Amino acid sequence: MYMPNADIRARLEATVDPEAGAIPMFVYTDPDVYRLELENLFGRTWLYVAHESELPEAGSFVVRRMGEQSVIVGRGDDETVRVFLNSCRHRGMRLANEDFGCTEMWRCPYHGFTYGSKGEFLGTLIGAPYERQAYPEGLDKEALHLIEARVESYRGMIFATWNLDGPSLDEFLGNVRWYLDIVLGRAEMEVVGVPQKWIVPSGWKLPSENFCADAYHTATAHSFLARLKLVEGVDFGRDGYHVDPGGGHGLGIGVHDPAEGSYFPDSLEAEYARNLDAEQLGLLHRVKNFHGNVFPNLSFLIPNFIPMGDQLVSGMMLRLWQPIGPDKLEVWSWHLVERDAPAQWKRLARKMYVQTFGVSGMFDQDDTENWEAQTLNSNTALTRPDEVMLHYAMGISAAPLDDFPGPGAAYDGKFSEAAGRTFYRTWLDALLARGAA
Amino acid sequence: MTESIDSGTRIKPGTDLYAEVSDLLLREADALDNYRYDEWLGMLTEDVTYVMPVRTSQFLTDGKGFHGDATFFSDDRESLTTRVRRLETEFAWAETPPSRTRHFISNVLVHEREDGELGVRSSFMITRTRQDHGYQMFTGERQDRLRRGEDGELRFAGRVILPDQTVITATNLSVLF
Repeated sequence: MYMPNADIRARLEATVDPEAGAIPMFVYTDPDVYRLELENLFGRTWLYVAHESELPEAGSFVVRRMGEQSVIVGRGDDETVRVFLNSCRHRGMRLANEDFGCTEMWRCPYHGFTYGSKGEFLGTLIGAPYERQAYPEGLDKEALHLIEARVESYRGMIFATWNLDGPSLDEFLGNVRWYLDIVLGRAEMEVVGVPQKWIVPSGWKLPSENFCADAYHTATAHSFLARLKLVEGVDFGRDGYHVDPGGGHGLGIGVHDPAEGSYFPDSLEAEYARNLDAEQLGLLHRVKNFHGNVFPNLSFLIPNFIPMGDQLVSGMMLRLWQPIGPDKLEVWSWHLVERDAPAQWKRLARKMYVQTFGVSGMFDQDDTENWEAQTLNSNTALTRPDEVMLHYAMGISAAPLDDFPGPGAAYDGKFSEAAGRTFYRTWLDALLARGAA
Repeated sequence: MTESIDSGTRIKPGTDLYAEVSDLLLREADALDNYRYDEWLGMLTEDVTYVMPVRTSQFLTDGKGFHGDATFFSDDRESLTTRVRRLETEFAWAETPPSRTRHFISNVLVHEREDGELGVRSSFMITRTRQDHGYQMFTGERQDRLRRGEDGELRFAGRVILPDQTVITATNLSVLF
């Protein structure tokens, strides 16, 4: 039987020690920790909700989540993107019940309260049925405005937060922007279709930290790649850089010999050069793979280029690890591609993405297997009298490079957990409400 | 996606051709449930296509919720062969030890088109258990195109898998449909 933590804050303070490379296992799935996460982390920090290409015209909307809460991300009739709690102000019914669409207004299916695309309650005659008879004393339209989050975007990525007077998105992203420029800002990107969604019985932090700071697992977890000769050796996860940009974000960049030339389409070179500075462009030309996590739960990945026919190709993706319980998450996975990439590149990239990643992907199958079993172990450890401590010390005494072009602490070789330690430090500070989340 | 598969002449139950199609569907299910993957690959044409589109919640007036651009599978013979070879490496952790699956195939409708290919629509229910975990279940519709080879055998030339779920309630899709 699960015994509630008498003082979860004290236990976290006493046991979570990222700077010493020590994280207790219970934090993966503890229900009291999860409660703190929903309130102090997901309720406060910036969260990714959509890519601008998913909202092509006035009235376009998608239904997303912030923490466990359903939100509508909509482009209003004034073209501004807003985010609303997907909840009628009358009885809390969901307003949008389809996954996406285009509409001039949302009408609640329960009693018919109606809201415009800017979240405004539409008032007499159109706002609420039989309004004059039902509410002869009138309705306070301002008070019935949909609950609205704060919205900012960076390089086509739309973020929202319930923290109306916290740090700006630019401050929150900080150094990771330089790297997001390469991943998502190198060209005009478009989301291909709708996201794949599936449920994994795993705490949400396990995949987040995996994308943030775990290049080390690839040689073992994905060893079939080398066995099937899809990559040259099991060292494909090692050569390159691990970067701790600060703020709980983290990433790894796999690089190849510059003499091989860029793996990206030649025809986009001019667009890349317009959008990136010389050092970012130089790094792009060496990218073999690129993984990372924007704190807390948005991951990005340019998977290792593999040959499709006679062409080296990669299919990039964005991931949200949506918490739906202490030990369960919903994966949302979007494929993105340069809008002006050659048709053949787009076709191969999409194929490569689906075959290697996503719920049927040959990589993801192995990853989810690990996270599920770790979660089971964490759940069973909750009843142990001792504290099961886990090892997070890889690269703890390594010095960052002093000649790396990008900001933050960059380390030679991808085998480091530096950004993972910062992930847990940022997470702990947010849960204990120290500093800004 | 449902328009073309039912075109042509309806082949009714009780005919030899319907029995031949049914037998192929049953042998395929048996091969998949018993890890005889090479036998399964032998039931596919060289140019086979194997696609599972992502489904979304949409109003009925907006269609059935399938969007061609986003897929759960987008495979051909080469990639299906890679998937099968992967399962045989002992390093396919999602299937080591392997799942136990059972493919239930029903509601089979067969049409013969002018070009000689057969359009076969069926419902599937696939149960999967693994280790000591509970059941995972997949239901939906398969739309198969069957073509007769020079050796006289019918083979699958194309499969579209239409899942009922918008959110897949399974850790992974390491099983074949």
